[in-house]
Amino acid sequence: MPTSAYRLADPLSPYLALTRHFALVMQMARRNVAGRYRGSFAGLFWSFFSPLLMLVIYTFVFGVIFKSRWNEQTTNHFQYAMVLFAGLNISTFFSECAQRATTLIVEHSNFVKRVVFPLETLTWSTIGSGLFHLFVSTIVLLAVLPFVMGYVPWTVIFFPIVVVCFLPFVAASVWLLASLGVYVRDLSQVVGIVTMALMFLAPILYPRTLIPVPYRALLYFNPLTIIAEASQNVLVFGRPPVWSHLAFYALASWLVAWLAFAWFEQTRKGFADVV
Amino acid sequence: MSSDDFSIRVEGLSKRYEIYAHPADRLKQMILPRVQRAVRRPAHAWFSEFWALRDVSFEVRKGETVGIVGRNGSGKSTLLQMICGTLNPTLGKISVNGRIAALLELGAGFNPEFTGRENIRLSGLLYGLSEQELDARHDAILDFAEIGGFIDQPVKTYSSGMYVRLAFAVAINVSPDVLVVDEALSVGDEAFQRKCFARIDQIRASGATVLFVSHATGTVTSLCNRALLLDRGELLTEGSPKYVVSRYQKILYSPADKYQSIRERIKSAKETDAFLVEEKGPLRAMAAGIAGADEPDVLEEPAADDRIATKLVADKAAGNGCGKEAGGSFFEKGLVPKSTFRYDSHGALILDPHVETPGGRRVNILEAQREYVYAYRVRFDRTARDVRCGMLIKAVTGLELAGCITSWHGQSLRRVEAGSEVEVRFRFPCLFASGAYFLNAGVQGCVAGEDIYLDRWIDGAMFKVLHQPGRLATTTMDLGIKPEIRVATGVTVR
Repeated sequence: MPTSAYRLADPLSPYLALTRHFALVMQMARRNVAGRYRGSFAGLFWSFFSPLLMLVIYTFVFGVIFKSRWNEQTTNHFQYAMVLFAGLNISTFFSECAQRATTLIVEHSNFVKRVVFPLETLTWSTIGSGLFHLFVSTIVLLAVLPFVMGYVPWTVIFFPIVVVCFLPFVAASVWLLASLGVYVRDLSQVVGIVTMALMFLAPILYPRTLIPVPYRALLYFNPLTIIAEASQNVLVFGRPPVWSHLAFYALASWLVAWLAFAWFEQTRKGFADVV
Repeated sequence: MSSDDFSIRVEGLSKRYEIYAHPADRLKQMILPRVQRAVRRPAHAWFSEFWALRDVSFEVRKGETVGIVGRNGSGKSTLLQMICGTLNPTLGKISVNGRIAALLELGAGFNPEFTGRENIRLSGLLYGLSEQELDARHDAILDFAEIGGFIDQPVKTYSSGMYVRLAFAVAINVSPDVLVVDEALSVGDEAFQRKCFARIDQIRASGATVLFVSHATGTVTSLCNRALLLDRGELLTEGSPKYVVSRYQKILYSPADKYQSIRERIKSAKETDAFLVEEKGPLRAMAAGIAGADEPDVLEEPAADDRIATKLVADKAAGNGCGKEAGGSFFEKGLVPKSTFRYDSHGALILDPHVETPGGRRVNILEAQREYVYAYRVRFDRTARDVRCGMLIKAVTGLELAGCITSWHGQSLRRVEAGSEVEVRFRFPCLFASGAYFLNAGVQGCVAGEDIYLDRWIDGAMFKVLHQPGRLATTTMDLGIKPEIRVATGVTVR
């Protein structure tokens, strides 16, 4: 195993890691999801209950107390909470995966030292369990939308496409952070701050139009911006995503995943020495 | 032998552990030396190094069971980990033919929060089984593990025995081509251990290769047909388990000041060819070796003054009716152990361990059911106190069958002056099945206030027991078990 089990020059290699070990990835992802609630009284019920509770709190705080409005045109105070939730789900999905990534390898030191394990698949199983929570939150949002807005937009069907464009970027972050996290143990502290910054610096809590024009373009350096906006568009506003943005994002995201995967495969040789 | 006949091939394998003070140094080591070379500066090393394994080469053929012995820290686990692929070799090459299942750290892939059933699934996938294969083997694994209703409980509630049984059951039911076992068999009760060994035998019989690491040298000698001795990362010697284990023990008990010289001696010595005939099992190899020397070189005539022996046999004949005229046993010069191994002497020397008839006629081809004497002399170079002598009879596999000491500590020869010689005789009935047996000799005593082995021989003498027609006892020992069979009800024709 001195060299990678993949042909790294192949731009599809990151996805081979998924397809080759699909059963294993699914089992691990299931284990991640179930593991979080294992032994708790209400079990999987929490994965539905906690996003629902959050949504209710947002609605109350921002709709009733702050009477926030997403923009001038809307009169519906509760819409703000819906838009916030749609964007926040994306950011939560990302920060959950990124935060887990920093300790991913160290926590599974057994898999590094004691059994022969395709470590690269840990990324996909982390994403898998993150996707489960994103899926549940989205279902909760779609269930509440009719009561608040009176409809569920048809553009919901585009949501999976938006997520698929996002995944390579998340995978790239996980591979990169997982690898670096082995060597630089302070990483998890840094990642907590960075993911929070990314959330605040994306149009999630506020619309892009609120930002002064000179700074507005900077927003697009935030990798969450395009996806969060697309998510708000298709889930709440009933607008299709901006296809050109999304296409560009998909391309960039896939490129980064390729590089990060190659980095991971190159640096994994040293894991056993320091884990 | 064709080139793809091997199962594991290790060539010039070395492992350097790079010890990093900080994990970040590992990352620097990966990147900075390349940069430094690029700007033509000398590359800096960010680690201190430790060579766990140096230039180890060997080959394991398909279907062989090979044991690896060595002291703690000799590199056994490193070697196994590299063979299994969890560690990268620094230098050298490993080729493994076929699916490899490792019992390195049993249950390492288990999650304590999950039920036994879920963990079976997970570790099965880790071993590379497909979902269908897993479904097919699920019942066999459950049967083997004997966990019963606990299988649906989280494994954190398991006793350590149950935990390991389950892990073992999974590992051993994946039908590996190569099975790597590291100290794993010391778990479970005897019945379970027996079952594990039976299963390993089964795996072996199906043509799989087994690589086995253990400190239990008895297990190595009885299970393996070849062994390797690792010490300080070097392959010191290889050969028959008996040969290798005796060298291992020598290393293990060597005093610090003699360690180097002992090590060099073992390294330079080669096992005699007779011991390398292992493929048909050591017993048969031994028997073949003896049968090969068709005409015994020396066949001593029964000594004329062998009256005591005759009388003894006569007594026995009167007692149990199995005695014959003496003289069936004889001496064959070529029949000497090739595995003789002497520990360093500490003030006394064991001389001439041998077997004789009670009358004093030297023999080494014995008849079953007669009495013989195992005798040796001990010459004392230093005055010793509390002298006790001992013996041990072992089977070809190294299995210890019976032993005896002249007395317990405190009731022994009080004081033996330097220069004196002591004669020790152990009279024993030959209750063994046909085959070869080996004898140890040892003298313990107190020299300079320290109670130690004054001298010790492993396989100092050997004897062979002739086949006895009509013997009803099976396996090694004949304890005079009396069989009885009758028709309880109904009719039978004899």
